[in-house]
Amino acid sequence: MKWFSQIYYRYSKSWKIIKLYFLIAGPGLVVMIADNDAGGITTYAATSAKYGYGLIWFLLLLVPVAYFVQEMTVRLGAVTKRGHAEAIFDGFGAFWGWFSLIDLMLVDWLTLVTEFIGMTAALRIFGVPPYLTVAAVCLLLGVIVLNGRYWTWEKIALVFCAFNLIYIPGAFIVHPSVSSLVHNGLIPNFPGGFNGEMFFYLMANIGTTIAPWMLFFQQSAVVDKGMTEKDIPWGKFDTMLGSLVTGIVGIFIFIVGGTVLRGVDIESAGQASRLLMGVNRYLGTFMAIGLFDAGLLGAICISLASSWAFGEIFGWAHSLNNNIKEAPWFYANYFLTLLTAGAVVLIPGAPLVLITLFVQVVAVTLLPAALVFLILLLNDEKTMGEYRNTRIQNILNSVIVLTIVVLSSLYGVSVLFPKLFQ
Amino acid sequence: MWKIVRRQFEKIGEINRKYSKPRIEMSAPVRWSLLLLRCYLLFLVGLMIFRFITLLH
Repeated sequence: MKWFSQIYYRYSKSWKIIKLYFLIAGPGLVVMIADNDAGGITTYAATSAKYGYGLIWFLLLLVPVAYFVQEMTVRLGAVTKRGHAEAIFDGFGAFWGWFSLIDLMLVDWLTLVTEFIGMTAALRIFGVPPYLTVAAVCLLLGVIVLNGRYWTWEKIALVFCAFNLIYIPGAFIVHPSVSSLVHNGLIPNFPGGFNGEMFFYLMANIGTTIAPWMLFFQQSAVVDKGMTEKDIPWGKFDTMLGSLVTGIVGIFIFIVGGTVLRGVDIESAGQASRLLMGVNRYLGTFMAIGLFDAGLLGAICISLASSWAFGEIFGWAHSLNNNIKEAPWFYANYFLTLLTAGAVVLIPGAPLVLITLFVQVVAVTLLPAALVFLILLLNDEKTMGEYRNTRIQNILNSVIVLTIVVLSSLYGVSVLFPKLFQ
Repeated sequence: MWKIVRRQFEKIGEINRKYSKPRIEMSAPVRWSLLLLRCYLLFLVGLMIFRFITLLH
């Protein structure tokens, strides 16, 4: 009987912890899974088609990198109760504030266009015309934000996050070789040697893992959710779980691409889905659904990141807990960003490839600045108190930030001058 | 309409005044970091302008 009561006690305690986690869970999971957006799926598909399983180890390496960077936004948001844009304005003055805000607006809008490109390409496979996809997505995202509660928005976003797992059964359909996966994927190596092309693919994978909008989004989400200092451990756990899930999903996309698409030049995830449809109908369908979901999740988060940032600075009501009458400018900004980005995809002959490349260049200008500000803010003892970066965190984060700054700059240069790295 | 635009411009002025002074203590490492960031961004903008001009030609 004592044994039974002990088991019951442990079960109820574990259940309480799980229930508590589900109350706190959200910003970390959503931002990390949304990181696998349409651009991210394209990058994974193209990398795995080029190098097979060869760079899976690199993707694994990016999991802790993403965690360490994003974890800082949890602490900063929970302690200051301010979004990232407001923290930059307050900490570094109006010049750096406007620079970050305008750059964020531009990079978010361009990234949103790429999400619409991914979503329209995915649904075109099922015969849905682009105008219908854009209209349906705008309507859906409108309904999601206009429910007037952050909690409901977050739980709906988490449901879409679950759809991201659709790549996992896809990997089982292709029957990958486990021994090849272990030997080629988990042991660090550069298939074909470390050359300009390899460098370009490594950079693209870093670029999809750490994006400027993620810093702004997670910190604002932490504030809108009302997280405080006591929630920081849960916020960290949430972020860690999110980074693990995003890494696992990425690996499964690598497995699908590395098994079936090896040797094919992939230019878009839509093209990859069509090719996979030819191999196996279910596989192609999973890929297309996953691509649509990835674009949708990206759109959900990116459009909000800008609106939150503008609301913080202009002093508008900027919470999802406000209805449209209480926060008209916040929602006007949200819908303006969404509708204009969607409209661009429908313009006949719009330079969509150029836009996709331009996103990477603009993101490169914002990312180093946002990361440097993040580290400096996390070292401000007056504001952060006991939650400031420790020496080990500073060393680790500085190495990560310096590496990202150098590599992402080189990536930006390689996009501007492609011949330089050939 | 004009009123709304004027109000937003006034708001920008207000924001500039509110955040005119950085709150973070400008210690040597902070000042160096910001200086390096400015140099880096100028270099990047210079590259983009150079690329734009070479594309036009």
